[in-house]
Order: sequence, then C-alpha cells, then structure tokens
Amino acid sequence: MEILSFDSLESTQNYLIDAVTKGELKPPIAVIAKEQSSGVGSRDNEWIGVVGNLFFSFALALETLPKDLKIESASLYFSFIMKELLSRYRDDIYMKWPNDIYIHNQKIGGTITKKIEKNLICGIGINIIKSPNSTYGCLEVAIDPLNILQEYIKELKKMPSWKQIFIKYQIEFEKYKNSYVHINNYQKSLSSAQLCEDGSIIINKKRMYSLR
Amino acid sequence: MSEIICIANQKGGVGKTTTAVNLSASLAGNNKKVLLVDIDPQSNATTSLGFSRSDYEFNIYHTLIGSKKISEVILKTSIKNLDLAPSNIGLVGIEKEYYNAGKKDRELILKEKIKDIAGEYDYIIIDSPPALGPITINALSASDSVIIPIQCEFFALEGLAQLLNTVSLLKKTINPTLKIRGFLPTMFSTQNNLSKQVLSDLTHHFKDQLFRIKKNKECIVVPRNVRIAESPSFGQPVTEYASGSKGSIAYENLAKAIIVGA
Ligand SMILES: Nc1ncnc2c1ncn2[C@@H]1O[C@H](COP(=O)(O)OP(=O)(O)OP(=O)(O)O)[C@@H](O)[C@H]1O
Ligand SMILES: [Mg+2]
Repeated sequence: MEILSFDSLESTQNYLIDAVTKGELKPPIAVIAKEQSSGVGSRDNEWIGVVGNLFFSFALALETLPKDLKIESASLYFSFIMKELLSRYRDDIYMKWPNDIYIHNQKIGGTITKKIEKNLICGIGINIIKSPNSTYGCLEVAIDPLNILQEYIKELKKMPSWKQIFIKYQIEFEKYKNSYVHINNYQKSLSSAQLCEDGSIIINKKRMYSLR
Repeated sequence: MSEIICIANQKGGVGKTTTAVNLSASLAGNNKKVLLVDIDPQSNATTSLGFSRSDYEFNIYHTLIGSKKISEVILKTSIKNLDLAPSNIGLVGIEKEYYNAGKKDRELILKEKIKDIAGEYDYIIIDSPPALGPITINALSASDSVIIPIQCEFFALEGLAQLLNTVSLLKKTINPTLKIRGFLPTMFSTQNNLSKQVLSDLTHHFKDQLFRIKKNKECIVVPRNVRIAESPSFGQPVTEYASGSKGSIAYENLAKAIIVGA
C-alpha cells in the first residue's frame, strides 16, 4: 500500500474522503500527516494534532475486506488490529466498546470509518507522545508514527477474518465490562450489556451499533 | 478439606480429559490423596485409567440421581493415592430426568454429593464435558476453582468469552468463591507459528493467570507430544506410561504449581 506523507493537513480523513470521492486517489492508499489542524475524532472529541502523535487514514476497496466483515463492524475491526499492534509496546492497553483505545482509564486513540461508494475510508488517531488535554492519555513510547503506520499496514496485509478478531474482542469486552461507555453523551455501564456477533451491543433490549 | 478443581472448556478436544487425568496422577505422585471425578458421559477419563464398562457396576450417574452415595461408586485405580468416580454413557440421561424436572438447587447436586467425602482427599479433580450445559454448571458450582485448557490451534480462544461470562455469573450467584485457577496452553508445537500466536494472545489477555514454574517463573505449556496421545490406550497416565517424556514433565510441573498455590 502506498503511503502519502504530509507535514500538515487539516485532517487526513477529510483529505482522503475528498480525494477518493473526486477520483484523485484510488485504494489501496494511506495518508499520514505529522500535524493536523482539525483532527479526526468522534462525538465532540476532536483529535487535534500534536506533532509526534499518529494521524492517518487509509482507503480500501470493499471487495478486498474480509468476506465475513460487515461494514458496521469495520471501525471495531481496524481499531482492534491497531490495539494489538500497540500492545507490543505496552501491555496495559485495552479497548472499550465500540473502538476506543485506552490506557489506565484514559482514551489514547480511536477510529472512524466512512463508506465512499465501493470503498472504505478508515481514520485512526493515537496519542503517542503527548495528550492534547488532561482527559486523554497517551502511549508515552518513543516511536516514529510513520513506523507504526508501516507496521500497521503489514498487519492489514494478513487481513484476519472478522471471526478471528471478534473472538479476541469478545474476551476484551468481557474483561472490561464493568467500565463505562459514552452513548449519545450518556455514561452507560456495560455490565448488563450483551455483545452481538456483528459487534453491536444490546442494553435494556435496545440494540446499538458503533456509528463510526 | 479438599481443594476441588474443575477442568473446563466447552470447546471439544482441547485437552480437558488429558489434563484431568495427568494432573490427578501427578498430584497423587506427590503423595496427595486425589479423587478424579469423571462427569463427562463420554467417560474418557474413566477409560484412560484403564477401566472398561464391565469393570464397574455403578457410576457417577447413580450418585447424581441419588441411588448410590459417591463413596459407593468410587474405584481404586492402579495408581497409589488416586481414586476415580467413574462415568458412563448413561449420564446423558441426567439432563432429561433430573435437570428438566425443575428441581430446586439443581445446579448444586454434585456439590451436595461431594460433601460426603470431601475430607478424605487433598484434591478432587473434575473432568467436564465439552458443553456449557447443566453438567458443566454442576461441576463449576461444586468447585473452588477452574483450570481452562486452551488448545494452541486455530480459533483457540473461541467461546472463551462465554466461559468467562458463565464463571462470573456463577460468582455473582451460587458460587461466590469460584476462582479461575489458570489457563493451560495445550498441544503446543514449537514448529507451528500459530501455536506461538495463541500463546502470545493468551499472555496478552491473561498474563497473571498462566501457570508458572516456581524457580524460573517460566510459563507452563503442555507440548504436543505423542506419548500423551498414546497413553490412554494403555490405560495409563503419561506420567506412568512415559515418565520423563516432555508431556509428562509438563503435567508434573503443573501439579507442583498447584501444590505451592502458584
Ligand atoms: N499434549 C498433547 N499432545 C498430543 N495429543 C494430545 C495432547 N493433549 C491431548 N491430546 C489428544 O487430543 C485428543 C483430545 O484430548 P482430550 O480428550 O484430553 O480433550 P478433551 O477436551 O477432554 O475432549 P472432549 O471435549 O471430547 O472431552 C485426545 O486424543 C488426546 O489424546
Ligand atoms: Mg474429555
């Protein structure tokens, strides 16, 4: 997969969505920026870029994704692969539903996905050396972001099935069940939640998907 | 009081029976009085110790339905310090006859029956069937802890989340003191990258719950070993059939780790 590297972008995700929509870039391709001014992120959490942190997006044709991966589960799938990669550097990394990456109760990163025609654009942001503010944590490991992206692409090439990832994700879910998640700005406990095969959860008989 | 350990994983063929039989024999070899309870209708633990159907009249089924006390079905094995409560295919009937009848405390039948003899053994090891059904629930409810064998093969961790969930539900309800004694990687082969991957996944998720050799803190892993596979057909644990083999040593290390409480 080709990697386009920028010193600064407003957002790798917006850039790639735009370029793929206009047909200027074709998957498989990845975009990385040393710094980004508006960030990727979900809810109101902007992933404002600090130099040294990791921001990248990549585009893949839907037909190249694992056969058993549903589009609703994609952000969880790609986030989990990142979590596994980062756990080579630290063993206290975990994932919270749906796809937030945590260390010690502090979010260090997350993933968003968007379908553009027959392609999937996925953006991942990880605080490597610095957290943008005190509510976030960071990896605190001196590694080059580009290096992580290269390793990540190697892992993507293996393209594990959704089932392989989900089996491990289920265990993670079981282990961190007693923590809270944000759903529509509410804190909810997952202790009575049930995880479904596609990565959605059922709380109080209501099914919820990751909307990222 | 005896320590009661259940060997469980609802995935089939992962090494539950092998672990139950060889751990029991190794504990017995360390001068501990051990009872192995075979509660799987397949009765593999019973046959692995050299018993065939005609060797015994009564089995754990009779104890569970209340027609025989557990002490009346227990057999002495050829191994010193090791007794067996045998099973038989007839045990499949237990779910229909007893469990579905909606009896009170039906999850606690085995626990109730074991009480009678609990003082006579240092360890009671229970070999459970490959399902999360009533029999396994009874076994987990009767136990102080559970050992979960994980076969180092494709999809090794499949179903593990459900098992962990069952354990935590039991803890919240009828067995608050139930512990996970540890995860035991089985059928590990050094040439196989997949085996290494499984071990690394296990270490990642459950680093503090792997068994370790006391003196060097090395993780206890049961290798894929032909002697282990051969020994059941000789009606012997591998510790007798091929003592000194790699498989035998792994189970002896496991027994030592259990004894020191590691
Ligand atoms: N370490 C090992 N090396 C080689 N063969 C092994 C090893 N452990 C178990 N086996 C073999 O693998 C098969 C399955 O093992 P075992 O019967 O112990 O699994 P199980 O979990 O009890 O199965 P079930 O779910 O049917 O009760 C048996 O034939 C056994 O001899
Ligand atoms: Mg068995």
